[in-house]
Amino acid sequence: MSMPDPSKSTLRSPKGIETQILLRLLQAQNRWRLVQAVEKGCLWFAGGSVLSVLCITLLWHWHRLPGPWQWLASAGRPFELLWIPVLFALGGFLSGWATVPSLVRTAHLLDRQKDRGETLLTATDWILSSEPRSRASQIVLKQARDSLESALDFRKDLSKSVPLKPWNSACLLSLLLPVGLLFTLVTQGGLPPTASQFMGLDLVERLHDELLQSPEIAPFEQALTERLQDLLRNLDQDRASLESETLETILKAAEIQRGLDMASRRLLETLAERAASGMELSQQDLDALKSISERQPQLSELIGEALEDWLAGRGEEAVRKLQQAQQSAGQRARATREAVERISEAWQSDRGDQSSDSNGQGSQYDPNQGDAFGDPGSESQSESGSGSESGEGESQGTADFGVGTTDRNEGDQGGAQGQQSLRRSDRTSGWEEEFRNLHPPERREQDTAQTRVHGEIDERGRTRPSQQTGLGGPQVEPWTGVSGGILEYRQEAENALLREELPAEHADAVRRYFETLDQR
Amino acid sequence: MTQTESTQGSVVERLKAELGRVIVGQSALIEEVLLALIAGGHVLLEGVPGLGKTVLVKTLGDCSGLSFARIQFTPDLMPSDITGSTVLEETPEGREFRFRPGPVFTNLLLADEINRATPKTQSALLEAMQETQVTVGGITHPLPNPFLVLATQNPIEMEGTYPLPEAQTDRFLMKLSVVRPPIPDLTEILKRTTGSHAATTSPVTTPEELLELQACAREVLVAQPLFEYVARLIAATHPDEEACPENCRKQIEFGASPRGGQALVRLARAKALSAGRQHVSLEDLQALAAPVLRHRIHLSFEAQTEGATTDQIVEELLREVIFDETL
Repeated sequence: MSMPDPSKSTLRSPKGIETQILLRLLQAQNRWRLVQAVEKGCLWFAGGSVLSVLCITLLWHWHRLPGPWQWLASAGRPFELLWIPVLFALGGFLSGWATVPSLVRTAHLLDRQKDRGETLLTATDWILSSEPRSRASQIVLKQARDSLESALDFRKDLSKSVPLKPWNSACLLSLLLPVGLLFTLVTQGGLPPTASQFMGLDLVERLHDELLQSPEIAPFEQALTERLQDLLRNLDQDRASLESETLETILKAAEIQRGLDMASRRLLETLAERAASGMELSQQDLDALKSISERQPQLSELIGEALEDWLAGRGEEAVRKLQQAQQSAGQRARATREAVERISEAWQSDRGDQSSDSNGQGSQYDPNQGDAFGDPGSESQSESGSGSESGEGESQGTADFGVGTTDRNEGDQGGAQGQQSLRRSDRTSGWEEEFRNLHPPERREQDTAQTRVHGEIDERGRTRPSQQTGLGGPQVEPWTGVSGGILEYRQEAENALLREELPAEHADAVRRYFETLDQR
Repeated sequence: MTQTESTQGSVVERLKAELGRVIVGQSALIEEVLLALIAGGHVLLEGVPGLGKTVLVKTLGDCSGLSFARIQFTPDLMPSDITGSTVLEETPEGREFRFRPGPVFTNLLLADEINRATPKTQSALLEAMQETQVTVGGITHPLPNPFLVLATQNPIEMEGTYPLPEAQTDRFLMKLSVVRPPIPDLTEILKRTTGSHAATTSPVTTPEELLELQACAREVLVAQPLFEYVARLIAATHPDEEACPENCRKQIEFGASPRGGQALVRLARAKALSAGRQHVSLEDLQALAAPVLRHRIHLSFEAQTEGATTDQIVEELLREVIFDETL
């Protein structure tokens, strides 16, 4: 067999063949990357459209969501949810583009496209390997190069052999779902322009109700602010001349006024935000403003001007005045609180009353007092608690509903197990003793009928206190919580036992029955 | 190397064509035997007597210019009957021992019914196959090159036989099943072989050319992913391997050794060369998987009772082992 004639050889320089093959492979690689990136982007776009439809639906029914989800709903805006599919598509495209198929895999995919039988794969593997060149490798490289150059335009051939899938367009059409949903909801009036105002719709109603629940101040106390300021100016002189009952009434009224100011401030803040966002004030909003004007005469002029500006189309001016009214109410609330605190402190220092409510917020829990569930609280100089019997591990002057504490500051009681054993008390609790420990003497001396809190149910089915009488101290509000209900219950139980003519041997059984009933 | 890729493929085609003048049908068998010849391996034939196995090998020898020998294995066959022995001869110089080569000293050897001979005799042949040399009386005698052994096993008469153990059958490159010819082919066979005029053949290649062909086959390129694919395929034949499909684990007792992978790659190279290519393709490997692995995969008792065959298991493995996963 004779050697092949070199002059008839169609082989180019080996480096040239390898370079040509690699260049073609890189072109194919980029094409594949583009196709897979577009496919992924379109798939994620469709997923994003579905997600945006879900989010819009959740916003539409936001009021059925639990509390934290409502807060999330208020953070979103319906039309901005249309960005979700776009962002998803961008992410899908980038993740697809970042996935680079190897040259070997690209070669294999090209072989499959053209049914070359691993020609290109073998050639690519040979180029990337460090095997010595042989005649067989030269032949394979040449065959691979010829197969790639067989098409007139490799790129056009590649776009035909690696086309974009037709379903990509269908994925883009999925945007019609959220767009259609938004259009339907907006035209039917079920969706306001901005979701951030979702909470505002119900918030105005709730704040308005809260405002209406605030007790009204008697006419003689309309000049409450002036009286408080006078008291402050002449703190050392006038307070001694005032009767304690009058001072208590003034402070109580001041507290009510402060609550009214806070409620007005919150409501004005919400309405100002709604107006600033471009929303139309509804009839409910106007009613709320009217309520504020009626209860806060000092703000009525400002609110009236804001309404006039709003109706005249001067939205910015109206918003500014509403904000001004809001700030005025907030400032007055703060001033009232400070005045009440200072007066109360001075009054308490005179009287030495341990049951003062120093924060002036009308809280039902006095940290210096302890509560009905046996929390001993901190040590205090309460005279009501000084004579009580103490169990093991109990701090002085505290109610004995149990022994021991889980408070770390109470000292080491021997671990959790020790804590549990300490909390078990050996004696049963008597409600009379705890009642004495909880309430000041003034309250205890009053008739029980006058220490009750009467409530009423409004038209919306919600309860609210309407009359508060015979309060034990100036800053102690009647206990309307669970503990107050327990004591009242026990009192009624004891009175019932005393009224009825029970045989002596059955009295204890009846008493134990009432005591063992579930107090939750 | 003087052959071009065009002549390499044409040698095989010429041999096929020439063999076809004598052998009716059996085209797959002919091709696979030629592949074994190019790959430099040995073949285990399984078929009932009278299917033309001897004619095939003899005709192949005639067409390729290779010497041919046939050994009928019987229970009383001795190893020296195969390898040859040293005999005392009378010469003008006096008496001297002279080595008389056995029938194994040939290019093409047909070992008929190898399972009839005793294990000792079988091992003598198998040793010659493995070493390509014979040592008699302390003197090593190389066997001719090329050297191809076609051993047959009669699947019918198994009584009084000594089936080759698995370790020995593993030395054969492939196991081919010789099937009965269909009626048209049988008709043609009867027509050709019972008349007065018998078909003859002429050499279309030379032993040197075949040797060159074998060398070219060893240089055929195999891409790295294809090597990995073969390795995964061999691993999948073992039931304790993760690569083994779930539905094959209960059917396989034990699988192929690395020698099976070597055989598959060598035969794939030969097949690519016979097709005029200088690189192996996936189809080459998949087409040769059955003849290479069918005598290397041993079925479990469950599979035997269910009537499963190794060919079915190889098909299942080819479906489960996906080439793209190696990329």
